[in-house]
Amino acid sequence: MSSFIRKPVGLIAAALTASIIGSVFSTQSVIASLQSIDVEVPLATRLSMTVGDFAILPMLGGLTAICFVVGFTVAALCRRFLGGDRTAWYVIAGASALISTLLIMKAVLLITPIAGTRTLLGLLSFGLAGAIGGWVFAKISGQPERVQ
Amino acid sequence: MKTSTLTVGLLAILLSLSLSAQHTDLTTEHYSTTVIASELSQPWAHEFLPNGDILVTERGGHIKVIRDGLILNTGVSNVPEVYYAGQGGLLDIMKDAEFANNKRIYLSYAFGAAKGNATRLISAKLESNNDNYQLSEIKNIFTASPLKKGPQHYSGRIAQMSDGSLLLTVGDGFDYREQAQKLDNHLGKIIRINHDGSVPPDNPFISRAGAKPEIWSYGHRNHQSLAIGNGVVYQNEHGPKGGDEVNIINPGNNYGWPVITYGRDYNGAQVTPYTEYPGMQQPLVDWTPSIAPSSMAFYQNSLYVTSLAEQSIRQLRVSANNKISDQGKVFETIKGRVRDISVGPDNTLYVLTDGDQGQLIQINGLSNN
Repeated sequence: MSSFIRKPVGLIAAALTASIIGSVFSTQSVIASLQSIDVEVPLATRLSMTVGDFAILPMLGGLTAICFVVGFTVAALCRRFLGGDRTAWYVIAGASALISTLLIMKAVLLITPIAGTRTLLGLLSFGLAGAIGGWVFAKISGQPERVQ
Repeated sequence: MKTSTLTVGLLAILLSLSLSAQHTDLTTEHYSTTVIASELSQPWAHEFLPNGDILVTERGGHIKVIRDGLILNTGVSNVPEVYYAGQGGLLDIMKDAEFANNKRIYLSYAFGAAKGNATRLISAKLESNNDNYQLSEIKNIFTASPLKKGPQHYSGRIAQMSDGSLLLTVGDGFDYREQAQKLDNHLGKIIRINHDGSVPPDNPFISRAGAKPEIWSYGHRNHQSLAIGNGVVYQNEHGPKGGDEVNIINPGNNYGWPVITYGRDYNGAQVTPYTEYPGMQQPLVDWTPSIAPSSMAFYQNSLYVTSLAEQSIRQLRVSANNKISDQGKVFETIKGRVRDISVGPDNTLYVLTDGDQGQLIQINGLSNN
């Protein structure tokens, strides 16, 4: 696979992975908030709500892809001028890109755009989703090993 | 021939006008509008004074005075500083039922700053000297607790019950929605207090340990409307994406937010898996998708609901057994986001349109049977 294809494929895979993980984390956070006010949420209802929330994937995936483009570009520049481990740069970029985007959106919209990120734990869970997205991008977009 | 045709035509028009005026049910098909005042900046509420003047609150923290269709250069002075951001600012205004004797008015507004703010209710004496009005004897009679961050969901609508006690809607603060289900705070509640801020002894949770004694009902989101008709308290509230509601409020009831709703978060995610839950009230009317109801007036056995998103006024007929049926949009020549509605002292409806060029508009010509 050429570099021209690996990067967009990697970006799409990274955005999809991070969005699915973020959506799952967000749903669990919302359910935990409901349970904190003594609302019963059986396992079947939890699973149903988790799957139902995948309805936000087109929006979340698009948003994640945009912020990853910015974040991964910065990561590529950092590695070029500062050196270091390529995968680590993309992991850091993925996490910080998602967290930064959510914080910027909150500052602009004056509301928390994703309910599951109202708490610090919820916000950090999106950082973890972004980090995993960065790892996926690094693995897919990386140069293949040369065969001797 | 032409003269007789014209005569018959004129008679037909006069007859139809006569029949319209004698209609036994309120009809919204025949009406006209009069713009009372324009160039109001972010108006939120209005109130009529016995001398004919009309007070209009602007969210930026001003109270304008409209006299004979003109906005006086001098508004009401000595208005407390408000937190003007997001949905915050100066909100509702209402004169006391005994205003003629005590000159008391009530104001609700967002109090505080970005990192700590709340819905507040004050009482004040409205003193006047020709064109000059000013507030005196200002008393803070309620501040929602705890303070919250972020400038959203203050609610802030005031109503006065027949016993003189005051109702105030307090929003959930947006990011604090679960607090609407907890009785140890004021977020997402309707509170009831006396004119001096004291708590009426028959409030539903006054004897419950840990509960705020001012709470009258709970489980609300962003309820910017209260209307009392025939002794019944009607309320509506903004859902998120869908789930706008009209409710009849009874003391002690739980109206469900955020455990039950027909709406979703703005991003499409579910707020909750439930639309019903034991011990929680179902809405009498649900609007999904949202219309964003902003105000409501009870008039001739109907509720008239103004909306921001739908940019409309809706009529809800109220039957004797409190069944409500949505008759849809009325007064459709009034355009734009509609912020407030009331029944004026002349028994006609008045509406405020929202925005930087807000207008106060009178709706004339409805039958008053």
